[in-house]
Amino acid sequence: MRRLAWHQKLALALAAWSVLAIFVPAVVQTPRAVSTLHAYLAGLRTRRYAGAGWGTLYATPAGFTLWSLRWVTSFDIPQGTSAVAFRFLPATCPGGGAETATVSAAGAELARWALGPDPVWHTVFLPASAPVEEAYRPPYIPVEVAFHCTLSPASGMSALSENRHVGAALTGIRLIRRVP
Amino acid sequence: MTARAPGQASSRVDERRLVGFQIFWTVSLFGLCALILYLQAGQTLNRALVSHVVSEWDARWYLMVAAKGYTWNGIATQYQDVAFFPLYPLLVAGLRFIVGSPQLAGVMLSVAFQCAAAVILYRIYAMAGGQGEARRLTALYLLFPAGIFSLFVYPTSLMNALGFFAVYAYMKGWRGWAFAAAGAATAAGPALVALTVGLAVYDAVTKPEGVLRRIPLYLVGFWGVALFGVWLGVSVGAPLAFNTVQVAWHGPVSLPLEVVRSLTLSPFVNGLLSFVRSPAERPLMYVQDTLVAMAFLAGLLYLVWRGEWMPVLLAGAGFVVLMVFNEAPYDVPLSFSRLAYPFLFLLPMGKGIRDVLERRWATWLPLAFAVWSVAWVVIWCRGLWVE
Repeated sequence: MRRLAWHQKLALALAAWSVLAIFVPAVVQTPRAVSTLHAYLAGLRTRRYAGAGWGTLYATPAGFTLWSLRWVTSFDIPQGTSAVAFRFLPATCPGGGAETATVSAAGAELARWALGPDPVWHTVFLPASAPVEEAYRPPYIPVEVAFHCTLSPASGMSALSENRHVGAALTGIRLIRRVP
Repeated sequence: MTARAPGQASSRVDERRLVGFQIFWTVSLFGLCALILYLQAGQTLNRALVSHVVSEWDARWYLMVAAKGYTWNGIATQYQDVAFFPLYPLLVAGLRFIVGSPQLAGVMLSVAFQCAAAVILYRIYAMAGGQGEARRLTALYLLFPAGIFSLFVYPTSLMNALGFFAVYAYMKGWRGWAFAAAGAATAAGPALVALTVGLAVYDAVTKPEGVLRRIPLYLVGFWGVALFGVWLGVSVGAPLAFNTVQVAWHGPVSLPLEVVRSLTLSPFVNGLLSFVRSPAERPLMYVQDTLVAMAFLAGLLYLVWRGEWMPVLLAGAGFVVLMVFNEAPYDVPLSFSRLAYPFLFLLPMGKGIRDVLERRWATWLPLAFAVWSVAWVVIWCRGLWVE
């Protein structure tokens, strides 16, 4: 076999690293071994979401009707999380109106709150039953927060035509770990 | 009689055809969107709806900057306009005076820069290979799913055009223009900073004599982002506000574990697995980003194997930056694919990649890209009406 050039060795090393790093975690789903890793990664996530600043997620306009605006933001929560606490900034609905936030996971509505003027922590407990977890994507649980704004047709159209930025904001997320 | 260089005329014809194709493709996709909206809910494309259609996702931020300039309230964690780079909104604000509507100005610029990007890319490929290859590869560029961002008020095509021009100028030996254009690209979007780095490293390594004297030239490759900082310093009193906000969104990169984890691509692979369970817009984005990331990685490694350093350095710098900072896919569809778009299409500068793309299976790629782009437009237009 001919001797490989240094860049060919580099390419092989990088390819080996890529295969190990990409495919092994994806393919090896041995629960016990992987759950240790997941718990570790979940710990990292928890810390990142818990602090001030991190976990600030913003709603994206998903569409409109004349009567309501709805923004959805979704994010992944590590598996093994039993509850999540959210804190919202007062929503900035154009023209005012009732503002609510709905939290759902795996398509099921988990909680709904009316948003008050003060940002307070709201806690939602994630379902732990097996059929629901089956739908989750390991190692994270996709959770969706939808903000709702009720608008008059005039204020809705006005917001659209002026392309005004409207939205509500999540200002914090705290993860509460499930005790094994 | 002066003899014309062989192929010169057909090269111009090719370029005109590519521009024509891009315009045809834009009109077709908009037409498809109008049809879907009509069939779905009987909506006709009135002015408010058209403005909504082209102002999807982050477009509203660019329009806001174009209308009102920058604001900054000092809250790093808040989603705000300083994170959106100024060159594109500046051009929108300028063209708006002529055409009236900022949305129309934005789309005109996006399509025009996509045409320019295609022509410049065609020339890059033609210099590297030949006209036949250049034609096919540039068509692939235009049909690539992230190309649908040239339908929107988005700076993607401007970034691509400037980035490609920098590479083209460098290949022609116009070093000053190359770094000037790369610097302009950094005023259009932060990811293009990687291109300047790649160009500078390539230039320094391949031409080590007098490299110290060229350091000021390399710094010119950052003039856009530097000027943006100065602008913010003067207008809102915080020259690094854009950086503060971007870091708050992406999260601090804590070496080494986060970086290593980012480089595993595992968020993308998780997305790929999730598609099996619930195919929808978000997993579709993950699948696409996964495929693009893997193809990108494979292409890079193949070029490293072959020792084709120019595309490796130019595209590789972008790949590393995107993998590190783009750890989790965003809300915006096509996130990785869109940001990787200019870097990905620098790979075929390498002969190895061009040879691969000449194989029989690759003749299906344009069709696959076109179908995928149409799927995006269908999904996106259907989502425009929310009950």
